Amino acid sequence: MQNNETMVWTGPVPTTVIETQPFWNACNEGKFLVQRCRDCGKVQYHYRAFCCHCWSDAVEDLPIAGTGKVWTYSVVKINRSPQFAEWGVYATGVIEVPEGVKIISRIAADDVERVHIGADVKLAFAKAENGQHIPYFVISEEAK
Amino acid sequence: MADPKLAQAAAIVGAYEHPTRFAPEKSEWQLLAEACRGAIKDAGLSPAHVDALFVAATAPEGGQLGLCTSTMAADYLNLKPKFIDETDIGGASLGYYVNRAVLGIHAGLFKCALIGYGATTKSRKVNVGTVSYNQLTGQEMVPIPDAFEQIYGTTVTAFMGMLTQRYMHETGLTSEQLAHVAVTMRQHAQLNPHALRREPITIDDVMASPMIATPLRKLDCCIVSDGAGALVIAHPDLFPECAKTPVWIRGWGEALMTHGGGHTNWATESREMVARACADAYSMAGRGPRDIDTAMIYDAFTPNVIIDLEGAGFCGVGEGGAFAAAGEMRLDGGSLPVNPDGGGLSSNHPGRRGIFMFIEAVRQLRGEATGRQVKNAKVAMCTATGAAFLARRGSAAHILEI
Repeated sequence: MQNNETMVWTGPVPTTVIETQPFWNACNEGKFLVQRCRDCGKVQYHYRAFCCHCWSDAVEDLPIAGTGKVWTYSVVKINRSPQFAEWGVYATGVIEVPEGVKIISRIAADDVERVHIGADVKLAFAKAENGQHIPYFVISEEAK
Repeated sequence: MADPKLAQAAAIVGAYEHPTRFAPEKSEWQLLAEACRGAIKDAGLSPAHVDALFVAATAPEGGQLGLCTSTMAADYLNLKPKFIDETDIGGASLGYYVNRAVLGIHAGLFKCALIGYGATTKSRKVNVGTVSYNQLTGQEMVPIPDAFEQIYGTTVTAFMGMLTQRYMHETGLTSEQLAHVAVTMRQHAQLNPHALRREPITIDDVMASPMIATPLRKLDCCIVSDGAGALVIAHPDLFPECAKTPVWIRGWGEALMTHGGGHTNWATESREMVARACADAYSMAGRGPRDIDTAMIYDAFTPNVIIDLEGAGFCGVGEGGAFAAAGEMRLDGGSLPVNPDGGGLSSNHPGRRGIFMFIEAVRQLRGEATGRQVKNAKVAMCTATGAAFLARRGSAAHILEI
């Protein structure tokens, strides 16, 4: 995977439902949505129709700034599923964003062996064949 | 606080681990039935005694038994239980059945529970740890939460790799310390004629084995076997009819962890979940870590053992790796022999290892573990963590006594 925002997504494409459609629509506009609750003030990810912390309906979209740090990761050497055949060796991980949540994602780097906990990452999008933009994170140049 | 009478409610009176680790000529049902027959025979009871049935699904690990498993199993075995359950928390499910059996017996709902599991994961060539979850389970990717996670290549081993990487970061655990876990389990497996992998391995062998998903190497991962096992849990009223000394279920606990809306620290919460389950088990049994003669720890991956050692209080937080490297888990001279049968890393792991831990504990407490007997074992502990997907996990802890 290149550090290039016009990259083509070759992995599985997400399934959607009305509840999660706003998240995926926002991706197509270059935004990654977490949610903040107007009642309890807490932030949540992944996207859902209510606040999982206080069960209020009053959740509002909070687009993340696009920065974050690697909280943990794994460089996957073996994935025998055909749907990941084109990925080769890749890094999957958890990104901690300043908005206050941890996000499971893919971590792209020129050399995945250099991915480490605490590395700075920035948000990027790849475009799937069906036109859906898929968010992932890229190791920031300054972190190398 | 739980009713203290639960500690006197029920005992394991029958246990049987199928000797096979590879059975391409048999169905999953057939293996299950052979294990159930073995456990009933071991108990000295008959199928007519069984009035509660608990059977684990295999479909979540690529097997064929998925929907309505206990009802379908009752039909295959031609039993008419009053009570069934198939609570699903992956490999830990079997321990949850033990708890539900104790509860039901204590409540007077039934007197003889049969718990069974059988799977042909090896002969069906299922790559449990190294395929996408949707491929493993044969389920479609669902919009919540799969679509937010599984599109990123999170295999079972990749999840545990992520958890382990963070655990190492926070506690100083090393890959070499993890390798000691694998080597100790293999040493134990050499004493178990039924273990799948018995050839000796060294720390260097573990460290040189192929990386699957960092930091986990092939020999940090459990083996994939075919296998089956069953337990019979009975009310004291049935003890006079039983063939062997009952093994009491003196204490148990359960705990769950979740993603917490994106806030959970997977590393610390994994350990604290085990600690919560163990605290309840210790409290119910009136026991503590120092009372345990031998521990059966669910070793799907080497780091599970470290996390459980620390969570159960067998050592301090951050000391599990050194505990393993010092040989404390070894049958030969260790202070806490762990998995004398060789565990899931070397003996038997078709996907849901939970039941085999109880069977080995029963063998140890009865003094039947020929060739690998923990001397004077009177109190055994079982800890198991299973997963739904990623860090949505559950732990069960049990204290068994003879």
